[in-house]
Amino acid sequence: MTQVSKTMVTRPDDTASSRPDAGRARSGVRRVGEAVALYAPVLMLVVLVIVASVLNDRFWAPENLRNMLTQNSALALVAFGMTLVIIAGVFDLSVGAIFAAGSVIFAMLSNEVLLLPAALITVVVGALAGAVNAYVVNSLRVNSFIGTLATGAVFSGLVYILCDSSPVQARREGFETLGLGRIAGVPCALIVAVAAFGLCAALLNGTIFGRYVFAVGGNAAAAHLTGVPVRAVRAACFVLVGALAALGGMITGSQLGLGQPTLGSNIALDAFAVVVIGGTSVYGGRGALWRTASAVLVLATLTNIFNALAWDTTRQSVAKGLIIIAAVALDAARSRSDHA
Amino acid sequence: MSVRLSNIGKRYGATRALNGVDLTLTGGRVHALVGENGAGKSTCLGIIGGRTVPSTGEIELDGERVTFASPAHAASNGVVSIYQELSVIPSMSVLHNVFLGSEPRRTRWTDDSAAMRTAYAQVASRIGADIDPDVEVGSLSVGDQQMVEIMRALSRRPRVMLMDEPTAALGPRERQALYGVIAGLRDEGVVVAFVSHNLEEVLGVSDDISVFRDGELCGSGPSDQWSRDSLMSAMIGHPPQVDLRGTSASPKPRKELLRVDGLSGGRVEDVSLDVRAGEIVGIAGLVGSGRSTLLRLIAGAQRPTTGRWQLDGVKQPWPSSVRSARRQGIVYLTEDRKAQGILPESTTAENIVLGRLGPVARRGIVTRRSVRDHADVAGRQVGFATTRLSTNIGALSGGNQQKALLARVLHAKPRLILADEPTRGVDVGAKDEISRALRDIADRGGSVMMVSSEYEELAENCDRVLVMWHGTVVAELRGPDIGVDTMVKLSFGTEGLT
Repeated sequence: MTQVSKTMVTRPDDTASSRPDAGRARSGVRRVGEAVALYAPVLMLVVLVIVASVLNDRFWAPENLRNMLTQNSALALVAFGMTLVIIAGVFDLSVGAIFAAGSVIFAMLSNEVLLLPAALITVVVGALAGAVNAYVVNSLRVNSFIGTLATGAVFSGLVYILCDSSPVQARREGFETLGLGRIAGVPCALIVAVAAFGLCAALLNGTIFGRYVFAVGGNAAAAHLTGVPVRAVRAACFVLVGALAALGGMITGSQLGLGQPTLGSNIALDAFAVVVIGGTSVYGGRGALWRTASAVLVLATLTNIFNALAWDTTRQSVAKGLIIIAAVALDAARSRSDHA
Repeated sequence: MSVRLSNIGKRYGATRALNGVDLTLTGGRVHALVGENGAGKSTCLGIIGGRTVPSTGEIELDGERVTFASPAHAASNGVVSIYQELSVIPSMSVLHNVFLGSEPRRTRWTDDSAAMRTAYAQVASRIGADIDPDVEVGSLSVGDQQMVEIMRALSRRPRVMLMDEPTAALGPRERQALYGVIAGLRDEGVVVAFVSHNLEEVLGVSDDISVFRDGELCGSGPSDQWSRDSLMSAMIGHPPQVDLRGTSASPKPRKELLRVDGLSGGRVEDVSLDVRAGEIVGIAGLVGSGRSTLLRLIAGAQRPTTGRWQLDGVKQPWPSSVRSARRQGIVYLTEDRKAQGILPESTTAENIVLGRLGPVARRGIVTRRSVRDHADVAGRQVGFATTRLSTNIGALSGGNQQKALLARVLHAKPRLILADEPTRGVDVGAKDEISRALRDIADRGGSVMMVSSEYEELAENCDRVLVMWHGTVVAELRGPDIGVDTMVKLSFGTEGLT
C-alpha cells in the first residue's frame, strides 16, 4: 500500500488534470533541469561577468562597478515592484509614465520646498497613481494589460501638461545627491535599491501578504474561495510598484539634474525583461525577487559588454529584444511541461 | 449545532435556480443532497456557504440569523465548504495551500511555520493522507489535490462542513478515507452536508437525504427510507427505465479492430490489449494507475516509448499525433471538459462540428445553417435537445456539455472512441443517456474504450474490463465476472488483496 501512495505524489507529465505519469528515472533529470532553471540568472551572470572581464580590462575597476550599479538602481526599483505585480498575475505598463512623473514632480517640488518633503510627496503621488491602476483593474474590471497601458497614456499626458512639455531644471542644491551622492563610498542610489530589495523580499517571502501574492497569481478564483482578499492584494502590489517607479524616476532625474517628461519610455520594457529573465512566470504565481535582482545585474553586465564592444543603442535594443523573447519562450516551455 | 433554511430562493435573471426551500440540517447527522444537474442542490450549498447570496429567505445558525457576504465570512463562522471545482493553487506547496486564508499567525504579518507543520501532521493523519507538505500541489494527481482541499477544510475546524461532489475525483481508497472522516465529524456533532451523484455512496454514507428537482426540495427523509429506485424516481419525477445493458450482451465473436502490443510510455508499462468491433472495453484502476495515459497514448496525444500497432490486422506505425489517430477513426474524449473540451463562448452546434469541418463546409464556406444541421444529426444520437444547439455551450449544465462533447466525437465518425470518465460530474439523466449512446455505438459495430472511477458504471456498461495497477494490466474480466468488488480488489494490486 505504501507503494501505491508514493507513486501518487510523483509529477504528472501530461495534463494538469490527468494522472501523474513521470517515471522515477525521469524525475532525476527533471530535478537537474529545474535547478538549472532556478539558478539560470545566476549562471548567466557568472558567464557574462567572465566575458566582460575578458573584453573589458577595466571591468573590475571600482569606478566601473560603481557606475554600473548606480546606473541600474532606478531600473532595479521598478523591476522589484514589477516582480510582485507579475507574481500576483497582473501587469503594470504605466510604470514608464509614473517614472517620468517622478522625475518631473520631484524637480518641480524641490524648487519650491525642501528636498525631503519633495521626495516624500513624489513617492506618495506614485503610490496614488498605483491606486488609480488598482481601481481601474479591480473595480472597473479592465484587463490590467490594457488598463495600465491606458492609465499610462493618461499619466504621461498629465506630466507633459504639468511641465509644459519641457524639461524642468532643478535649482536646489543637493538635488543630485539621491542619484549621484555617496555615503561612505557607497552610492546613495544603490543604498535605496538595496533597501527596496530588502523591503520587497521581506514582504514577499516573510509575510502572509507575500503568500497571498503568490496565491492570487496562482489561481485568483481559488484564492477568493479560500478567503484571500484578492483585490486588496492586487491593489497593494499596484501601489507598491507605483511608489517604486516614482522613486526610480526621482533617482534618474537626480542623476540628470532635471525633471524630464520623456524619461522612462523604455523602463517598462526593461523592467519586464529583467523580471522574465529572472524566471518569474508571466502567467503569475511563480517567481522570486533575488532572481530579478540577479537579472538586473545580468542586464547591467550585458550593457557593459555592449559598450566595451562599442555597440550603439540601436544594436543593443535588438539584442535586448531577442533576449526577452528567449526568456519568455523558456517560461512558456516550462509551464507547458508543468501544465499542458 | 444546526442550520435552518427557511424559504430560501435564488433567481438569476428570469431563471429560478432555487425556490422556497425549507430545510434543517442537524449536527451529528450526515445530510446528502441529491438531484439532477441544475436541480438546485449546489446553489443550496453555495447559499449556506456564503458563496451565493440568496434572493429570498433566511438562514439561521443555531437559532441565530446570519447573512454571509463571502466564503471567508462563512468560514469565520465555522461554515466551511469544499467546492465542486478544485480551488487549490497549483503553484504553491501543499502546506501553504492547506492553511491559505487561515494561517496560524505569529504576528499580524507573519505566520507560524512550526505550528503550521504540526497542524498539518495532525490533519494529514486524520484523513490518512501520505502527501509531502512541501511539494507543489500542481504536481499531484487530481485525487491528491482533492485531498489537499479536504485537509484545508478540516484544518479550519468546521462546525458546518459542506461538500459538493467531494468524491468525484477520488479513487476507492481515498473515498474510504473520506467516509471515515465524515463519520468522525458526525460523531463530533458537526453538521455535514454533501452533494453527490453516486447514489450508492449517498445511501451508504448519509443519515438523511434531500432530493431536489427543478429548484425545489421535493423530498427529504432519513436514508433508510430511501432506495436507489425511489431516489431516482424522486430526482427525475417519474420511475426510471430499467435494463441498461439489456439485450446487447451478445457473446458472439467479433472482428478485431485494434491490437496493441508491448505498449510503454509515461506510467504505462508493457501493456498489450485488443479491441474488437462492437465492444465496450472498460479500464478500471486507481487514480494514477496509468488509465488515462493508456488512452492518451492510443489517441496519439502522448508519444509511447515502445509499442506495436495493428489496425484491422495490418501492422502500422504508431500514430504520431491526435490528427493521425483520428484519420484512422480513433477519437479521444477528454476527462477535463472545461479545460480541454468545450469552447465556452461558442455555440453548442459550433462545438459539436469542430473536429470535422470538411463535410460541414461547402466550397470552403461554413454557414450557420450547415453547422446546425450537422450538429443536429450528431446531437440526436446522444439525446441532445435540438433547441439548445444555438446556446453557448458554456451556459449549459455539465451533463449537457458532456453530451455535446460526445456528439462532437460522433460527428467525427469514429471507429473507436476513447472516453475518459465520460460521465464524471453529470446528473443521472445525462449519465443514462451517455451510457445508452455508447451502447448504441457498440450495437452498430463501433468500439469504445472507457475509463471510469465508478465501477458500478463499468459493471453496467462494459463487455470486458481491464484492471490496471501500477501501469500494467493485471486482470481482464468478462461478462458475468465483471463485479464491483472484484475490480476494487484488483485495483489495489496484490498488496491490496487480503
